[in-house]
Amino acid sequence: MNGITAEQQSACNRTLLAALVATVVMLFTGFAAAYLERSTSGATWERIKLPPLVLVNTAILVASSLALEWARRHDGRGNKLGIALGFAFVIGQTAAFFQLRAAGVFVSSNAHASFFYLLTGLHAAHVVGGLIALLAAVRKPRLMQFARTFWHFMGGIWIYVLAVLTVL
Amino acid sequence: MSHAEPQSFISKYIFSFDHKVIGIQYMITAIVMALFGGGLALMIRTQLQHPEMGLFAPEAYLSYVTMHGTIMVFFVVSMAISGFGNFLIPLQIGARDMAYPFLNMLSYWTMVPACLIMIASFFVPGGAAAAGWTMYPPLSAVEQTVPGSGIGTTLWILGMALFIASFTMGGLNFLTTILNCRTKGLTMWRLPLATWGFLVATVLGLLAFPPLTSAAIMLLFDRHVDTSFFVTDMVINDQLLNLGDGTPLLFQHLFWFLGHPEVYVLVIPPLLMTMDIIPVFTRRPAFGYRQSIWALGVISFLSMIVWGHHMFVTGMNPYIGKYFSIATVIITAPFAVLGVNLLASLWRARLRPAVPMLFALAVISAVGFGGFGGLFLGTMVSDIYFHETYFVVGHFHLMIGTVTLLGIFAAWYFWFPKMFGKKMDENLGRWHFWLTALPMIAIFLLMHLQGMGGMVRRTFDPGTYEYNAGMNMALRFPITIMAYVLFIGQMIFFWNIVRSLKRGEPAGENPWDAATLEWITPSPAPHGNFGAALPVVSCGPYEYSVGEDGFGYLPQSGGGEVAVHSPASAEEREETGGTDSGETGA
Repeated sequence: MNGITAEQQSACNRTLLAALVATVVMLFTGFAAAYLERSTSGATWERIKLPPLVLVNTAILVASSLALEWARRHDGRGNKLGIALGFAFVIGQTAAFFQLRAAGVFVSSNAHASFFYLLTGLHAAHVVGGLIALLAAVRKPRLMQFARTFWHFMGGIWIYVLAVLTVL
Repeated sequence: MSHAEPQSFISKYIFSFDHKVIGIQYMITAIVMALFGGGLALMIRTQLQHPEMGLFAPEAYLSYVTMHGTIMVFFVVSMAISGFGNFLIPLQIGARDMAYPFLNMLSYWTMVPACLIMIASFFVPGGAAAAGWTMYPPLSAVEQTVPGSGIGTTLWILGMALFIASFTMGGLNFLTTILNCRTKGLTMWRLPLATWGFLVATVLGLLAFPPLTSAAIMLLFDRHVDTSFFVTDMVINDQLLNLGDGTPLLFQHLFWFLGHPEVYVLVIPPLLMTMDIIPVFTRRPAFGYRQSIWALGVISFLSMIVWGHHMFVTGMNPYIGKYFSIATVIITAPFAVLGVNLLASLWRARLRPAVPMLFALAVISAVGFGGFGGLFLGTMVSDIYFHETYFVVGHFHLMIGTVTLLGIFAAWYFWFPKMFGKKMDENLGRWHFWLTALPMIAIFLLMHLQGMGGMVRRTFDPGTYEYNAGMNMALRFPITIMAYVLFIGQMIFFWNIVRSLKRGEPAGENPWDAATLEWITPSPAPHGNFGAALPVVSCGPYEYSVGEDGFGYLPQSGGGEVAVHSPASAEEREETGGTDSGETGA
């Protein structure tokens, strides 16, 4: 019996989501800071060539966010498309990992490769979490707003990760 | 999200959703872990006192120091704070439970395996982690450097991962509950200071832990996937190890970005619980309530941008060091506000020297001593000399050991009646107080002296260095003796708990005549905390010294009606004659 009103519960959920977003931001900020430090202070710093599939995946992820937004305005029709695109992103990323592996780029090949695998892998782990939340929200529609916000946030983190890996 | 009153033993006491049970579970686990941590401290002291006896190998010594730090920081102080937070927050804000009771239960049961893994790491080949609680690579990353860097360190990282997961779950609960579940009338500016402390510490922890998580993940990769984030080529035992060209300094930055705020996560809740307790025993409002909270906010913000003062001697660019040094010394200003408010709370007090108050007074002393030492470590010039010495050991033990534990003891004696419905024995409590506060503060002050004498820390045998021969060696003996006294003194505490649980004086609802919400429910508080209706708050938490003769107080949910504090008031009236009643008042 936590004895709180539905209104309070939903306020709690919003705070929970905000706090979760803040911690994930700090997590990726930690990695970005590490990337910056490592890329500027190491004796050698070679870049790997990212597989072009990554760009396709980016488009898929953006499309899934758009589908979810479209669904929000159309009574939830399109949620399932959004989720399917989310799964497609995870599969696409896995394929990108295999492409890199086939090209002879491994986690320990060089620091840039390590960061690529680590950052995108960690992002994928969070995306899987987001997918689970979306699937749960299909059953419990009142959770959809939180799952969707988190999903958009993961899209933002993806752009951020790509920017760190390519620009910094 | 709601849960009914549990019936079976398991759902009531083991996998309980009730915040009070979970709080007490945390505290008991912290006490058990404190015995381990304290035992390690005694072994360390014994080794330093008699290095010639060859008690254990130097590598084992490093393991014990590492695990003493890890256990005390994360599994004793942090966990005790989680305990009090869980127990107090819903009671103090007039809620029936945490916002997410299941998450709360999960948080505790993630912590238990973390504790077990940490203890188990002593019994694996190579022993427990030996790179210090800070886990700097390469000691923590390269197996050849030290035996504990094998499976022991892997277990350490695993245990910490579980700890961070548990802390995050608990923290999310604290945050959402305090922000959203306060009862009617309880604005943020009417929150008891203890709850403010938990709130601020939680926010700090939630923001500071993730970068450590990132560091831990990279460390794992360096250890097991041959990446080179932190490790570089090195020669060990005439053997060249090709490890790449990482940068160990990076780990230190990430670690201390957590490490410094973590210090405040440890210190703020006990300090604020102390500030919560003092008004009850001075019968005066807490001095500067709002200023304290603003100061707290400034301190917390600054604590996130000063981590580099732990790294003055690491080869970091000295210009950055200068910035960190200045930012650190700026913290003195808001901290002085807190210190002055603590002292000013005693002004014109009708002090009731009950055991919680004794501990609270000791906290004020420890904050003073500890804070003063911090000035010399925050200033780059003096830190370069002090950094590798016992001055640092003495300083951080005063702050994150003494202040925290004394504050936690104050809180334990103060809220014990609410937890178990009985009062702790006052006489045993006084013995415990003197045998805790005196040795604790003395030990760490003497360590400052050793540090000024240049005694290096992390050393296995101080006799190796000739310059230690005079004062430094002589001071070891009183320190070691007092460490033993301190440890044995805690037995009185345990005896007091057992005795009070069995035969303690029944406490009643409000044994201390305190004004905050937790004291209007029966002791121990029932499932759901408050009766059919939740209390409605009409005033701030510290409205003491009110009423006609100044002996009354306003309970937070009393609707503005003055309650007169009863038990000691007759004698007190006689003693003071009510002379200062004219200038009291909220």
